[in-house]
Amino acid sequence: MTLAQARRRKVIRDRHLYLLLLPVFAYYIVFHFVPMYGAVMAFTDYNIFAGIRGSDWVGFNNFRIMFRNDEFFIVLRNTVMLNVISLLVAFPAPLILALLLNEVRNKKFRRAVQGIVYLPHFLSWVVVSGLIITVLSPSSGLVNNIIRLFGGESIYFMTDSVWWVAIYQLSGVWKEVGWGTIIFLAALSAVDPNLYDAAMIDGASRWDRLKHVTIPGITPMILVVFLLSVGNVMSISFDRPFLLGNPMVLDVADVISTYVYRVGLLNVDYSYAAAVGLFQSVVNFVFLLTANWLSNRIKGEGLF
Amino acid sequence: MATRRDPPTAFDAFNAVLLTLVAVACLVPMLHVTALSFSSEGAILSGRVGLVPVGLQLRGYQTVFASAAMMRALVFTVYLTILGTSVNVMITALGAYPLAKPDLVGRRVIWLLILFTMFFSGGLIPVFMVVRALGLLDTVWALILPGTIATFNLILMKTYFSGIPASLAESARMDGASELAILMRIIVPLSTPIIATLALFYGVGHWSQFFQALIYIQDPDKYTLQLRLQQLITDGVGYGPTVVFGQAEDIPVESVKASAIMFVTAPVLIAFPFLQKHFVKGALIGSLKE
Amino acid sequence: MSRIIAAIGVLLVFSLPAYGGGRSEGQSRLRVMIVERSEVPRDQGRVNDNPWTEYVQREMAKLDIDVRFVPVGGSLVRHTVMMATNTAPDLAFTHGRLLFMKFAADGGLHDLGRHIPEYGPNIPAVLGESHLRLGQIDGVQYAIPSRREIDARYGSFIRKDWLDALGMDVPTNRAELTAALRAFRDLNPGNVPAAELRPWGWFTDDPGTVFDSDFKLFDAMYSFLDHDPAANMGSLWPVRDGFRDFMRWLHDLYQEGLIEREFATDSFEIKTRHVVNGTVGFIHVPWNYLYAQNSSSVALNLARNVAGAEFVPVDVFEGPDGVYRKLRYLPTRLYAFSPRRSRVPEAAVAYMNWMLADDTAWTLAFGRTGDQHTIVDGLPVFGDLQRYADTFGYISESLRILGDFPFGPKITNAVREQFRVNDFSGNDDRALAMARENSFQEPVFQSRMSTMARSGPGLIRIAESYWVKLITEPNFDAQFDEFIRRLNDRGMQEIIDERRVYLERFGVE
Repeated sequence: MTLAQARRRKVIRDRHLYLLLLPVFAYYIVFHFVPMYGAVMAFTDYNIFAGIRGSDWVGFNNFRIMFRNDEFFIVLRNTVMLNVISLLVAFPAPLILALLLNEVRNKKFRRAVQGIVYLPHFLSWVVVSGLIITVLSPSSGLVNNIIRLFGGESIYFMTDSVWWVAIYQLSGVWKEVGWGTIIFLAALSAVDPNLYDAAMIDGASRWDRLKHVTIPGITPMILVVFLLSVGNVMSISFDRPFLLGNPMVLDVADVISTYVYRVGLLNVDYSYAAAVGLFQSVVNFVFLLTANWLSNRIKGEGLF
Repeated sequence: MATRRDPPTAFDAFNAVLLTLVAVACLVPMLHVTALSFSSEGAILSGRVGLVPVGLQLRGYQTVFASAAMMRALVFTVYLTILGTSVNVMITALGAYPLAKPDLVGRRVIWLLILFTMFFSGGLIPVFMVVRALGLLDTVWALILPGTIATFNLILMKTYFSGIPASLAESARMDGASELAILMRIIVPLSTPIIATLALFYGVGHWSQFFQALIYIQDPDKYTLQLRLQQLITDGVGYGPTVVFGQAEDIPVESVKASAIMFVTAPVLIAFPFLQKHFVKGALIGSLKE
Repeated sequence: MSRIIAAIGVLLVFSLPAYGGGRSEGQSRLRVMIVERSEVPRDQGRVNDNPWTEYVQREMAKLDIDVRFVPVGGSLVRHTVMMATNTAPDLAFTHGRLLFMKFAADGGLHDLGRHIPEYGPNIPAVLGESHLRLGQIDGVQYAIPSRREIDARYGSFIRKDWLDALGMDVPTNRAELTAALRAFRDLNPGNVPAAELRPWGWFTDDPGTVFDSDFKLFDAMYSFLDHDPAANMGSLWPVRDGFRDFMRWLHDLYQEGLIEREFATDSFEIKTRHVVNGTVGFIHVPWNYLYAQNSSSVALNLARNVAGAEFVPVDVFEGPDGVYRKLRYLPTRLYAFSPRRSRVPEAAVAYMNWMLADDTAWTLAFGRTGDQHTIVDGLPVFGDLQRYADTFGYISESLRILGDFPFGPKITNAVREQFRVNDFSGNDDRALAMARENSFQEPVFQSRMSTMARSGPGLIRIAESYWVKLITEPNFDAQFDEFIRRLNDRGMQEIIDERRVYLERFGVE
């Protein structure tokens, strides 16, 4: 039997599975691949009334403008910098919290904590940033009041670049750590209890069980979340840097999304925004594929 | 995971304290907004409200509950969330199950194409054209179908399904069960945690729908709650009738905003415990394996 | 599980008819855009379907009007999508001049001027030719600009009770203001905790939006610049004579501890908090900031917190020629246009014409005579304000897309008086009068300025990052030179050149 024949046989065997996939294919084709032609906008001087076909083709002109702009490299650097730090800080935080929750014996306590840590996720950054700025105010904020009470001097958290980055990261953890645990808790619940029993019989300590049963059990999920975070290295949503930022920390707080916003504010330039978006996507996609390839090589598993 | 056979250790105490601190820190912002919603306008403006209401009043809530627009938005958003989440979870499961099968021919190509769509899109206008061509404008479906599958969620579900022993499906196949039957009768019952998780993700996504409603909806009856909230908070659309040069009826603006935030958030918080109990139920796999 | 599924099934089957129906397109003759400006009372219906939209349809029956509701929020995206996909109503509008100019420049709008003689004689008669020019690009009337009755923008306010406690007069120029601020700092007439004392509290309009392009201290800035409309139009403020002195003045005040230390980070809410708590001596803010007609009014809450506390409006920013000039808003709020793909631009003009007819304008502003108001001595008298609001006030502004009708100060003031809820002992009226006195507007360009579009965002970023540094950091001169150098590196001169060319061609408006 040749390879092709074997494949054909498998396809025939799995024909019902392909049938199940039909609505999925339909969705991706209709709502993703059909509209994909719009990406061409980045190579045109887009006129919304003329549409893609009626607009002038400008080739890589929008990209040339982008790369010739030193401002673009500043926001690029800031975006990557904030995201890499997030990968180190904000990515492990929910995992650790989920593992700690998993070690709690009292079910009621665990549920109560779970129910509470999700709460900040449901408040918008407008509300949360207002609270943060108030609490950290050098003259009247709670934190600095405490610092002064102990004889320290007020810290200008929001105007000092280093402190600002720390606040940016911590506020992100604060707001999203609980929400981030959900995935890991779902994965934890699927770890086979028999494995724990077996480990107990072997006399494994709690730490050993965590290392040899729990972590390996949820590694696929950790890997998935990590790889997808890597595939987001070029993207930061607009709200957080915009609302926490201020003119004093522009050198670290200005990211691609706030840059595009500013460009759009003065100059409704769809093509340029599309070019920046396309650039982001290409870099993100390359990062994801590379990380996935590495993961497949090293761990033997990845996204696909 | 600790079991009853483990003796309590210093770690348990430490863990309890740490988690309590985290929970307190996470409770602060919501408590603050709750306190604002019950506080007098003067206390809010003066910044005197911390975690307990100052100058207790209910005008904010009275205004929000008296609002016909808010009530219509609540009913519609509940409907949208239930309908949308059901569609999302079903279709996502249909995709995740075949794609979790390691030897499905073409699997890698399909994944690559799907991931591609996660990063590259044609932008707003071409998608709008599709929605219009399908006649979905101004219907609830315009808020559901363009986001039928969140690829991130598809990957999560597929990863979960991959962890279910293939032998279970195989033996059912031997017994002549159809693939759909295997999915519904074997895979789904074993996957309540991930289904609950995705229902939560999709559900909260629908509950917070703002942008799509802004683009696709022109019928004020199909306004989502978030759109109303946004209108109130950012666009300053008045509650209580504004008239030419002032307001006929005095409305405490700041406490209405806080009350509206609570009004929009509370249903999620109430629904959460019902989903929460499904997160821990999945431990059936082990028992079924034998 | 199965019970849940069954319940969902039942729910879906029964509610599909309610939410499943889509919008039918293109039946009516004239589709008109409406946005929601306040809540529609329960018994009145919806924003696009109520007694008043019925009134419009009845009155304009020959146009067969279909009122299309458009959500307000995110209008930039919303409008772009609508225009790009040909789903915009036949009569639409946008609040942003930028978007209007873009639509016009890209050839997406009808020339309404062609239809005005035949279908819209009221439009030039009521709005005036010079006002209409705001809606022209390169001489073509692409839009009808709405009318804004109150174009006042900023005001300065000082704590009268603090001045009284010090035995000082109300300052009348910059030097006296500085003296007052110093006295506030040194003598602390309000007895507030030293760390909380803020001689000059409010600094920018809304520093929360830090990437905003507006520089909000216009009145103070223009008090250092020669009043020269040609220079306003043909130059940019950082290179004008006097700008350096202006920044240095702010710098010195800040270094002396007279300006709020945290002006760059504090949000609108926090700054208001300070004002309401009575720790601030002087503010420069939108003229009506203190005087909201509801319980959120800053002035009322301040008086409640601190007995006797009162801000009074002051004129302190005198120009080099001794005149106290103030910047005012453009006299328009929105641009009403008809998209190129609409087949009935003349109906859109006819509709706007009807809206500006005396009877209609009166009704759309004050409701029906005998219903929402009665007329006494030619003035509208509103008996029951709540009834007015519940039966008409909710929709009035939404329907009047061309804005405030010029009824004249007598009627306007009479109406204003009747809707006054809070008494500010005339301070609000004085603030308004002051903000209107000797006011001027920034230049309006009636062609698309391409260099501004290209270099503007970069320049704004530089301006943003420097204008705070110039004030807060010690080495002013070095910073200022660097600031100007970087602006020049990023193409400021090109913008100035383009503006000069425009100025030579079209002159000063």
